Amino acid sequence: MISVILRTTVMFILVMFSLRMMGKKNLGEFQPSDLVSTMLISNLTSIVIEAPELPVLYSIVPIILIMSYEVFTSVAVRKSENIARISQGKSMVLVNNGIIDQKVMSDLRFTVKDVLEAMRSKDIFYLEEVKIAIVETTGAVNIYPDPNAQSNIKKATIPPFDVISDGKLKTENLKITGITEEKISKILTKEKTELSNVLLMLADGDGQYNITLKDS
Amino acid sequence: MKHLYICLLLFITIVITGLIADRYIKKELNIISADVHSFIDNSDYNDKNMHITTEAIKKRFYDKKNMLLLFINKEHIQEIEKTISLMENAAYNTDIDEYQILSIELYYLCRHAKSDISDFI
Repeated sequence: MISVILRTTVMFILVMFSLRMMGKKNLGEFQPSDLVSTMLISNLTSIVIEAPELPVLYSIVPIILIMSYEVFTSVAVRKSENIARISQGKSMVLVNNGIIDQKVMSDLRFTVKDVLEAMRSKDIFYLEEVKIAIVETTGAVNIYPDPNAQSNIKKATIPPFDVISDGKLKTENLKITGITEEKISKILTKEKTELSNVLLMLADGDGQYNITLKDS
Repeated sequence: MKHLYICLLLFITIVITGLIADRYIKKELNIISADVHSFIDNSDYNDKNMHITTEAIKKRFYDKKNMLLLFINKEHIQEIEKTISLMENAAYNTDIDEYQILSIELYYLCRHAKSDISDFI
């Protein structure tokens, strides 16, 4: 039992030391390499605690190596823009002046739902309110709201919902906004398009709508 | 930058120590294997040979046991220890057949332990 206590203590101190050396201030915002390091370190720690027949060095050596690689990577990333791009990727503009960049969305494997969730998390409900939305290398979406659009938009009591998403009608959202399927058909006819061509249609309680067509 | 230097130092230390330890352990296990091998190869089986071989293996193994424990799975060390004890017993009882079987077993245990530290795949 003493062996387990000693092993756990040694591993705890080593992991704390490693995380301090890796300089993790905000553990919620992982770069890919941080995530890999943390996952590997947590697994390696448990190996020797659970298996007393293995030498402690079987965990200590890999943890120190991973910690070193992580520090080397972060220094290399600081020194070279290219290494940073390879290791962490680059920030991408997902929405520009209220228009979703569908190529970026597809590259990042984002869905319309992800875009709307990111907007709502920043208290933004109208696509026109977004001046620019950037997907950071950590995967977080940062939005800069359009100051002009925010004052120009007449906000309804019921916020906009996606009534059409990726060419599919969302009946539950139609009920919330009080819009009928006939009205949607009229709007689509007026816009000279079909349901399958619509990537996203947002409509609020006052009947204001915004349509984003799929890129051909 | 301080962290980088510490990590660089640790990294170099680990790589160099790892290479040295790897060679050292392989060498020690090779010597034990060679002792056993020379006994198996030797057609002149007698009590004296058995005792000399067992003593040589035992001395070498117990001298290096603590060092081996740092790098090799404890189960392998225990198995080697057990086999050496059984060999000692067989030598005491002058049971040559048993001694031969145990020698071969020890030879493969050493090979197995060696593969633990050096096999990449």
